[in-house]
Amino acid sequence: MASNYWSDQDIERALRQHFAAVATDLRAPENLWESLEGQLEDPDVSRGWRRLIETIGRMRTPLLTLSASGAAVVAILAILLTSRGGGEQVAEVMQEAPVEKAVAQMAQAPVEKAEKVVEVPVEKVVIREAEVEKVATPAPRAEEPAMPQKADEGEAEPVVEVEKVVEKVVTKTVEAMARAEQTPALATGSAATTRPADTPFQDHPRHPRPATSGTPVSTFSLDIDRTSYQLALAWARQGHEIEPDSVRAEEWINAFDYQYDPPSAGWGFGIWTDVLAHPRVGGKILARIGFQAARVVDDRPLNVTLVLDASGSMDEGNRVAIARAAAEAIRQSLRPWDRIAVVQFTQDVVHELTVTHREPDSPTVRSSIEQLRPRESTNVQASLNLGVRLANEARLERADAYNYIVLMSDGVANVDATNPFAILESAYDRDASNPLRLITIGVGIANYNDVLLEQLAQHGNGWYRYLDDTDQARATFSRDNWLVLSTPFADQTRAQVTWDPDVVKYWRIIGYENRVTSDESFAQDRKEFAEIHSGAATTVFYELELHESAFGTGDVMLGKVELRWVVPDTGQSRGQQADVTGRVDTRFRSATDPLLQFGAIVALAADLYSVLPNRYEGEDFDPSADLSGLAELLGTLRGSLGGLDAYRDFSFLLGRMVETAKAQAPPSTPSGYSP
Amino acid sequence: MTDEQAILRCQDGEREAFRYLVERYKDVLYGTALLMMRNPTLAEEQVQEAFLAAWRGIKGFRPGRPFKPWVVRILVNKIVSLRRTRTLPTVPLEQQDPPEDVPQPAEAVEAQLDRQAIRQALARLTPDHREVIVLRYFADLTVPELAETIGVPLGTAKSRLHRALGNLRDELTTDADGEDDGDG
Repeated sequence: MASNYWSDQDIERALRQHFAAVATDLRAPENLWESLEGQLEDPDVSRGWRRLIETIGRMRTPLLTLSASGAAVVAILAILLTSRGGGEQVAEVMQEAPVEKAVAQMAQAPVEKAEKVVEVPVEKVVIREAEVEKVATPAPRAEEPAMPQKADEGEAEPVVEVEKVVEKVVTKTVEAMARAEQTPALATGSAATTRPADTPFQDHPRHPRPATSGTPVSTFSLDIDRTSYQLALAWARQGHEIEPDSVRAEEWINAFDYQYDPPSAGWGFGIWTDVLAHPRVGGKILARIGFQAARVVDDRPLNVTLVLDASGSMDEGNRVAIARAAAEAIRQSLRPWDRIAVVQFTQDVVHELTVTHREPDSPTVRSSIEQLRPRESTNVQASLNLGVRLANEARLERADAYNYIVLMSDGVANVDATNPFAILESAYDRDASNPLRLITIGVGIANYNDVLLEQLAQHGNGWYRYLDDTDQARATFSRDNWLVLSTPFADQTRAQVTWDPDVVKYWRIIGYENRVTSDESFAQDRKEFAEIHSGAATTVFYELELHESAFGTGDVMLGKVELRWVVPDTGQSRGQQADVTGRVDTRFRSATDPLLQFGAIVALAADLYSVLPNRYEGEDFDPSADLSGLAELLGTLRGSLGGLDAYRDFSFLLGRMVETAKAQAPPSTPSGYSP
Repeated sequence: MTDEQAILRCQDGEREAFRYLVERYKDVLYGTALLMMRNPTLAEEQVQEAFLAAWRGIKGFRPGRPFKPWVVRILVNKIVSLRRTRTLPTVPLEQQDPPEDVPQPAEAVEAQLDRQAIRQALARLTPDHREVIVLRYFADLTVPELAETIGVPLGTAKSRLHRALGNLRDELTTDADGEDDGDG
């Protein structure tokens, strides 16, 4: 066949002949098994079992105080998981009805409802395999293979393995009991006060209250994140106590829509200022400054690089489902001229699922997103490096496009760099003229690293969101929302407020602890300042004490606010100024805008709660009383705002905050009378 | 013992059952690795890595599904991963002399010429195209298995294979033309 014409059949036949002929040269070394055998470790325990063990390990409520049925369920699940051949079936069942949820519900069952709590002696949890099979093994599905039979006799008695499993459960239970003894909340039977494991937050001290005479200027980066509020709501809904360190007041304030008018000039920002009396402290006033970005339409193409966490920690709850829903919603919201790439990562990048930039309707992209599932440990650094590389390549190819990297993760980084700044340093974007914009999307409750995700976005030209469920994921990235979110309006946006020392005696910014910056930096375009998308609004509240002479009727000029930013598509710096004015005699309850009152309550409540429990040390008032007072005030707004989901959610949250603050309050001073 | 029986026993931790699978598939894995990487040392390393990964993950493998495409896929992922992180030193197989010490009949000589042409043409293909040809005609994966192994939709796998064969044909034709020219 050595001619110049090769038909398909000729080529196929020649290939097969060729490979058959060279097969002897392609044989593996004879001793492959010998060199392999020594490296074999025991195969992994099944994922479901690992999850069960981890879940029990995390429980603060000991197994023995669960209801009898709860303990039985845990034991049966444990045994089923390791029963021969049943592991995969059970793992599937558990995926459909996550065991964490079931166990968490058991752990959180109010004690009063568990009057029939039975102390189950641990040794009796051992159930012989035969009994389990009789009682609890689901019937095999028709398409699944029958239970495997061991060919060899003389293997270890299966029940021994089962007992080992239960022994592990017992060990974990004893550990949980030991922890429980050290946890005061459990002693009272309070079921909903556990803190999810491995959830680091960063505590930022509240700002001081400078005197305007010496320090009249306040400079800060704007912030459109609202994750801190969404996280708190998710925690409270799952029965957890809200962690004070997780509360960033500015993100609570900015979680709500205050319905600012768009800029009257038709460009730049609408800057709206209002003043009202402090509702809890006589003589103080609150000043609200709202910034409303214009809504713009921009048809510039987008290069979107999804960086999806497929690590083991994403296996908890519905994290993967949320991330997958968000990724798919983004894909569906893209326009035909946009491009999308996918990077999935565990301890390394999952190369077989990496998709370079292509059309949004590409089956390869769809397939990669569909195949997102949890695997091993987490290497955020490697994945962001690849994400940045792909995004940079796409940027070079299409210089007119905006470039987004969307990282979806629980932030639990445990391979290579795990510090946000080290990760960013490694994935540094050196082209400031058309920056790569890093959006971080957080999912999960326990095992969640808020600090990492927040800092990555803040220093990565992006913003940070938290998604609690798949519906929220789809809603957040619906086509309409995505068009707004993905249209940058102002980069490196910061504000500077200069208070008039003749009017304002003291001032204090509420929240923005990690957004406040030096006054000198205001003149500089810096990457860590906020990226504001089209139509976004952001709000800041100040607590002010005025000179007595300032109180009077009519509008009072309190100071000036200046805004600076970089226009994304031209790179030009822009600025805008406005006066901070308002009627300083406006009593709280007589303010005409209920959303202004609502925002003030949100700001003050978040601000108070964020410093629990330190507030009690050396302070002469009780924050729980203040929080209760704010809750009462919130009740007065029910008539005007009660129809809003936002109002109902915050009412629920504030109720929980009051409970926590009361629980943490020190015992009152002894009266001196005998009881 | 069938593959399925071996897998079930592996899931119980039986190393001897895994040995059965290793012995059965080591040649196809090593050959695939060698044809893709053209470096015997690296090929052996990657085959070992692939088997170790298969052992670690065998508990999660659903009995009843074919083992070979799964383990080949693990191998290919490792090779692709390695290829992306560093440039692999290669020993060009096309330069390795075929055994010629055995006298061959005329038809065998013609077949030998074909194989030589194929070998040289294969060496000139892109890694992606060589990969699909090796997986389809050496590892003997079906096209759906091939698609799953390289992580692309079925249609993409078909078209990539078609293009690879087309390019191979071009290379072979060029070879033949070159020979003719040279002879003329």
